[in-house]
This record gives sequence, C-alpha cells and structure tokens, in this order.
Amino acid sequence: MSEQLEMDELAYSSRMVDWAPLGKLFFVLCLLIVGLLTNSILVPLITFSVGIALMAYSTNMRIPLILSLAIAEAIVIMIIGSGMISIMGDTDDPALWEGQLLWFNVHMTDASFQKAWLIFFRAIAGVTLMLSFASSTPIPHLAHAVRSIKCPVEICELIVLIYRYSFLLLERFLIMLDAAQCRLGYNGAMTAVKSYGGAMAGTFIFSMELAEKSEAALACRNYQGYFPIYRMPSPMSWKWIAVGLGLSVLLYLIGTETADWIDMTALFAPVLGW
Amino acid sequence: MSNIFEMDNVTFAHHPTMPNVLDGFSIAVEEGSRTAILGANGAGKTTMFYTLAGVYKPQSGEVLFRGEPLDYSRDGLTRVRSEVAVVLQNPDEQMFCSLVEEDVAFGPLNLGIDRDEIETRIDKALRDVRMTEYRRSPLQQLSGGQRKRVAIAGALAVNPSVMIMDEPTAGLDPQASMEVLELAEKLHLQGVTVLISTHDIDLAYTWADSVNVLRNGKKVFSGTSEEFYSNQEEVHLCGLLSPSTFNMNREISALRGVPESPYPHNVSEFLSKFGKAGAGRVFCVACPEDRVCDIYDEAVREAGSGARIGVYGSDTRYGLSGKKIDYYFDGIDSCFTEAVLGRDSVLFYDPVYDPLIKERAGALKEFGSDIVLEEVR
Repeated sequence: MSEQLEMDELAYSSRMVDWAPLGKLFFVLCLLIVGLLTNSILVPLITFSVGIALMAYSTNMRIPLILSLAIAEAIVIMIIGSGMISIMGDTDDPALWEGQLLWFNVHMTDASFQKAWLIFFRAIAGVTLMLSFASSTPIPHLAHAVRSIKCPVEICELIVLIYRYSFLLLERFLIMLDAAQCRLGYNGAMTAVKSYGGAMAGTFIFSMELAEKSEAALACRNYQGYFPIYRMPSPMSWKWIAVGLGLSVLLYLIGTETADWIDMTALFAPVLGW
Repeated sequence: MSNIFEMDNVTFAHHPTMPNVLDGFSIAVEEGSRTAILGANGAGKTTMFYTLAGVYKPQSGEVLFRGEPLDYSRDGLTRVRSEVAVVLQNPDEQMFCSLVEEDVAFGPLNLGIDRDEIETRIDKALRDVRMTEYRRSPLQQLSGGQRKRVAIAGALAVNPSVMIMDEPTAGLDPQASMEVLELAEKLHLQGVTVLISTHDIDLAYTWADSVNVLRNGKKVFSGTSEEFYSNQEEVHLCGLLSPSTFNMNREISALRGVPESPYPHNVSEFLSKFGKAGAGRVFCVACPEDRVCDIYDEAVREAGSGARIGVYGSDTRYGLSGKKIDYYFDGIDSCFTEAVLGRDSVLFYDPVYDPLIKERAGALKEFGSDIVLEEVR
C-alpha cells in the first residue's frame, strides 16, 4: 500500500475525524505561527509536544511503519539543514568551531548554533502538528471546509477530483510496474529506466481515457456541477477560535519570558569542549 | 405493456471523422421486461446504454423515453436520469467519493432528495448488495468485486424504474454473480425494467425474457433466445456461442428423436424433459426479515429429516448464516431439481420472490413435472 493510501486510511479511522476540519486547521496554524513569532526554543518544544499528543490521540499510536519512516526521513533532512545553518555563522563573530568539513568552510558561532536549534525545533514541531492534522482530516472534509469559507467551488471540486483520481492513477501505475516486473522489465539499469518511463507514459494516457469515461459516468449519476457530501463534518465553532487564539497568546507570553532560558551552546559545551 | 425506451434509426459516432458506433440502430424495450443485450466486444452495447441515458446525443434518429423524445436540456436529462440508473462495467469509472456510504448517496444527493430518505436508501441498497458492514470503509480498500457491489448499490439508491447494467458479472466470482442475478430478478419483480449486457451467455439464457443482439453498431436480432441460438451461423457471425443448456437440449433431443421445443433453461427443466419426472415436495418458506431463524427449525422439522435445504435471496441467506444449508445459491432450481428427482426439500427465500417461484413451478409443468409446492407459514 502506498503512503497516500495509508494516510487516507489513517484519516478515516482517526478518533479526531469528526472534529471540525477548519477548527483543526486554525488551531494548528495558530501554534505554527506563534512558534515563528517567538525566539524561545521552549515554544517550539511545547508545540512539538502538542503535535505528538494530538497525533497519538488521533491514531491511537498506531502510526504505520511507512509513515514513521517518512517522518524519520523528514527529521534527518531537518538535521542536515540545521547542521548546515549552524556551520555557516557570521565570520565576524568568534567561532565555536572552525575548520574544513568536506568542501565546506566551517565557522560555527554561538548565534548560528542557537539559530540552528531553534529552526530545527520549529521544523519538527511543524511536521508533527501538520501530521496530526493530516492524519485526522480526509481530503473531502478539507475541501468541504474550504468551500464553506467561500473558496471558489471550482477549486474545491478540483481538489476532490484530483484526490479521488490520484488513487486510481497510482493504482494503475503500480499495476504497470508489477506487469513490467513480470516481463523482465527491470533486467538491467536501462531496461528499468525504460520500464518506469513506459509506466509513466501509460499512466498519463490512462488518465486522459479515465477523464473521458468519468465525464460520461458523472452524467449517468446526475452530476450537477457540485460534489455533494453526505456526512457533513462539524462546522468550526467559536470554541476553536477561542482555544487557538488563547493558546497562542499564552505561548507568545511564555516565549517572550523564556527567550534566554535554554542556552543550547551552554548545554553542549561540556560535551563538545567549548 | 408499453415500451419504456425506443431508439429509432439512431446513428452515433464519437467524432464526425470516425466510423459510426451505432449505425441506423433501432430497439424497443418493453416496460417491466428483462432484456439481455448481447454482442461481441466493440459491438456498440455500452454506447447504446449511454445513448439511452442521454449521455450521448445521436447525430440522427430519435430516442424515446416513455413515448416522448428525449429532452437534452439539463432539466430534461435530470428527469430521465432520476428514473434511469446505469451500472458501468468498470466500477472505478463511476465512483466519485471516498467512502462507501458517500458514494451510494452521490446519486440521490444530486437529485436533491431529503437526507432522511437518503439514509433509508443507503441502508436498503447496501443490504441488497450485502455491503452493510463496509458502509464507512474507504472505497480504495475494497476489492474489485466489492466495488462492483457498491456501484450497484449506488444505482439502486436512485430507486430507478429502469436499471441498465453493463457487464454486471464481469470480474465477479461465481457466488457474487449469482447474487447479482438474484438482485436483477428482485428488481424485475418490483416492476423495474432491467437491461443487462453480458458475455455470460448461460446467464442471459437463464434469465432474460428477450435478447437483442448487436453487431457492428447494428441490431441484428430481437426476440427470444431460442430463435436466435437456433441460427448457428448468425450466432457465429456475432462473435457469440450458444449456451450449454441449449446445446445439450439440441443434441439429446436429436438422439432421442424428440422435438427441441420446449427449451429447458435450467437443470430442473432439463431433468424434467429428459429424466424422470417425480413428484417430490418443496416446502416453501417466505422468510420475513426479522423472523428468519425462528422459522428455520420449524420448517426443517415439518419437512422431515433428509430434506435438502436451499436458499434464494440475500436477506434470507444472510439471516440463515450459521444454519445448515445445502444449496446456498440458486436455491429455486436446486430444490426444484430435488422435487423432480422425487425428493423433498425446503426452500427459504425472501418474500419478494414468491411470484418467481410460482412462475418457475408453472414452467416446469410444460416439461412434464408437476411438483408440489407446500407453503410453510
């Protein structure tokens, strides 16, 4: 099963699936923004914890292995990115570590080291918060929510159609890859490249054919230019706004009060000999 | 009965530069009938269905629905499609929602039907195709056969007066195919006009009142199955084969020197014609949905030990799951076969099939078997 299918399955089985999609989105965005507005590492750490807690509740800690690997992969990328930021400090500032690493001139300063950690925590907080939202909100619910805030209907309908057909096309693509394997399609690097290319071209052609057939099928099912939703997700209430804004203000205050509380350079100094 | 659909000299091509898919095509479908549309791949069956549903507008000729020319305005088409449901060959092409219940509700929601009514329809449609337990499942997690059932449920939820099914049994396992056949019977008994295109000629032979055969966009035959299959050359030219029951009847009739007519369509009729015609009893138990299990023990006791037990209809089959059953599918023919062989049997069925059982028992008389139907209340 692909990551996309796993995510969809996760969203529909989530304990938070009936929560208001717009409310969840607003809440997550509030936490993300407040994390960016403050310079305290404590705030991204708190939002990261909130994200983890929501994800744990949403999925009952049954995150599929492939998604865990995807999260781990994202964290590795963030570590590399933050590492790069930390070693590219202002050369006017005194260096904590200076030298040559592969083809990089390393100049790690106190400021760059602190900044790298702050960005790293903001990034992982963002990932966990967005995942808690994505793992509990099926795309049709999101499309409906977006429609309710007067987003053009055409865009919402396109979201649903693309979402629906991406599964079919993905399924088709995977079938083609399996078929290529049955016909020795991966026998050698060039053959493998050709097989992938063929499968991609085939999927593209299939998508056009599918579009044509779908038009007729939609007509047969009395499509009136709008995809109705049978089980409406809950609308966003004032509680979501109150909780989102209230928590943001609280975190902002915490952030301004605790800006200098956690000194990552001092924490690592004994280990790294600074 | 009057014709619900008529196509008069219809010509249709997907593009002016392309060959005609329907070429001077005419057909009349009687209201409340069971019609099979036969033809090789590319004969124009699907195009014909789309033209009937107003999806394709013919370049020439006329399509009549209830005697009136099809109105291709938005309102006109909505009116037609609120009565005509189409189940496509590939269920993936007609599913537009993520969850089973959402997809079943898609058609009724488009018609602006009240949500309470839609809830009832979803329940009923999913029960009819035995997919109730998958109601909240994402469609992409279902197998091909399950998706096909959901597609049928989506069509049923519109409460159509015409049901068009394009290859409904393609890709289904034999048991699921039998369930589709039962469903088609049920719809017919409820007064729905059912059109089925199929390559399963045995199914069409058993089920249909009349067959319409297409070849290269033209209708080459319209009438009873027997008339069509008697012309072997035409059958061959249409890219079809004769049903096995028809072939066996022809050969054994020739061997025994008896006329081919009457033509048996199932095992019990075949046995009645060529085997012994015993007079076993069939204990018929119409099972109300809420009392299926209560009735079972009583009926089996009344029939006595040794009586074979058959089921017909999805509600009864579901209600009796866990009970001892000998014939899970096609229970009518199986129990009638027992009776023809002089043995007793018990037939549990959904009450809606009552007229079908009487009709089949009546048909058996033509073959020399007068089986005894004993109703158990």
